[in-house]
Amino acid sequence: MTKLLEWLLGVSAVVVAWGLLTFDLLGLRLPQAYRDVAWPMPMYLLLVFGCYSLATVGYRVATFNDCEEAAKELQAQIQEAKQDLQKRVEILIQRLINPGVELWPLAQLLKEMIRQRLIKVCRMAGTQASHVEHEPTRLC
Amino acid sequence: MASRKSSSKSRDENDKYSVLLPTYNERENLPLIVWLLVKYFGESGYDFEIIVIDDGSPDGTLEVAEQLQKIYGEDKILLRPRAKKLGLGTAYIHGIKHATGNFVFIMDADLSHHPKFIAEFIEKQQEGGFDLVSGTRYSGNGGVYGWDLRRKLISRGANYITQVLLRPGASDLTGSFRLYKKEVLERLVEQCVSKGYVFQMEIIIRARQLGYSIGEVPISFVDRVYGESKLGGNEIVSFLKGLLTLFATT
Repeated sequence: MTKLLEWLLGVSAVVVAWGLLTFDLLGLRLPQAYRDVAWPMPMYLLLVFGCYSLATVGYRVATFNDCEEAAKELQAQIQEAKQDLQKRVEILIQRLINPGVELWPLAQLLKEMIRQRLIKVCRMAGTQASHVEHEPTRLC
Repeated sequence: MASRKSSSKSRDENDKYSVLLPTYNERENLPLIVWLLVKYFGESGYDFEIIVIDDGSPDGTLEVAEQLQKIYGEDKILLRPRAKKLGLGTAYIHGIKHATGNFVFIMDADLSHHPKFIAEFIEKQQEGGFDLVSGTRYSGNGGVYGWDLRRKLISRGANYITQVLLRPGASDLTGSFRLYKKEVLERLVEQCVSKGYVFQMEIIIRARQLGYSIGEVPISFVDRVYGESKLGGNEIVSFLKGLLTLFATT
């Protein structure tokens, strides 16, 4: 049975019960007070359900966790991953170019030399050298 | 405590986990997600493989994947590309065919699903012998990052309506970070006809129908770091259409 059928069954059961009570189709001769309650019942149920739904969704939106920590952790790991991958790629490239000679230390040395040079140039030009010192690899 | 201890002891040496990563223009994210997967699988010691199913991304995702394959080895990174964008359902079918593991992880490659949760998925699965374990943003310590009030409201509202109409017995239906027994996923994917968000929903509904057991693990969902997150009017309309289709047919 599909969910649609289940719902139709449920709703028609309620409608039938409501009709029987409100119009007294079974001839039960229920007191007027009962009928007065039964008559607006579907409306009440709908209202209650609507309020419950709004309250539930509202509460869940308000208590929806904001994963600040998870986002920070991810950002840090992305940096770590990039550096590690960069290293692996360079090692890989060097192996491909010349399997016999490990060029990696040389590349490091060159980078360091260029960095020192840049800092000197910046100081001579009188500009702030701090960004060069902090992020040497990007400039090289 | 006891369950954790026993699960690590009873860890089956033959269990292998295949991670299916369908990609489309994920050049920036793919190396990062692979790096994280290798890190966390390495730390937890489970046997794994990553299957990248790239649908002909014009941004060169496949070339990046080839580079990663060289770094991590062809036994760990498998490339199963397809010529053009053919949809998620068929990507899974395509990936499962090549998976050598007896369990399959499905997750997004855009870093919204963090590989740190894989150990929890596996422990959960072993704890209850579940046929599928679904990550949930909506219960326990689960949550999201990067969503404004509007997005949260839509998400919670849509989830509530779905819960009321379908009573699926799982708290997060549209999330796609899940662990399946391989044969279970094969059977489910065969049965599903929907696309996009609705596909994830249909899988859970079908799983319930077929009597499969479902476990849940709370996850944090960090919305796309690189690239655009998509939730426009079109998505909402197609979600509602899909929901009503499932409502009427299942």
